[in-house]
Amino acid sequence: MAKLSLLDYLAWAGLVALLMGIWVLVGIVGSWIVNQYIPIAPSPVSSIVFSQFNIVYYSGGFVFSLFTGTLIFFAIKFRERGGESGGPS
Amino acid sequence: MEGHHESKAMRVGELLTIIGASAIFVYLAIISYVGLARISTGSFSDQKPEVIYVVGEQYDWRFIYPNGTVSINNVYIYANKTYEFVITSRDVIHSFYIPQLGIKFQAVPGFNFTIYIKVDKPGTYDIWCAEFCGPGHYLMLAKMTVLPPP
Repeated sequence: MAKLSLLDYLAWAGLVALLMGIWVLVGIVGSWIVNQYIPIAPSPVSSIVFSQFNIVYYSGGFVFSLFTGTLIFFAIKFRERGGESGGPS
Repeated sequence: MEGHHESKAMRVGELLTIIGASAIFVYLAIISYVGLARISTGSFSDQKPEVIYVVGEQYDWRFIYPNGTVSINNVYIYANKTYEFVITSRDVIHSFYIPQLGIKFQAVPGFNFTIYIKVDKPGTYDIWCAEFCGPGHYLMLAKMTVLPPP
């Protein structure tokens, strides 16, 4: 199995963080746009509903970033290079 | 020896993934259950709720107050007061949706479904029908007017 350097781990973490950042940004922009047209009513009911929506959204974003970031990192790191046999070095 | 360490590391990674994913699901299940229970039972408020019947029909929303008054496509409630909306339908299935509160509940003929509402700030909020009920479905709109507390 290939050994990863410190730089590889940093790149891997950076990619995951970048995807999570994009996910958070999309959530913030989306919420802002929706709030312009349908502002949330201050209510104990709406606070329960929308806080749960946010928890699910950001939990999903965390899992998505982790797995997709890992997928992209591995696809680039262990890509087939010209003149070498396939598979990780 | 190196192969043994690698397979052990992979095994640890697998277990962490399984346990981590399970923990996230369990956490989401618990908070969803608790939140839904609070909304469904009205336990977010200590007040005794005032009951308003909501009857959906093509293509109006009728609101029946405790004193028998009927209001069409407009419901008036007070801020900081808890209300129990008992939702049903007279003809086809409709869906009672208040987007600003994030509440949506089916209005089914022959069934009474209960939701609890409490709004903290006076204002006017939309009520939409969220279940296709016929050609006039897009016109089945109402308003919820929240008045300042008496």
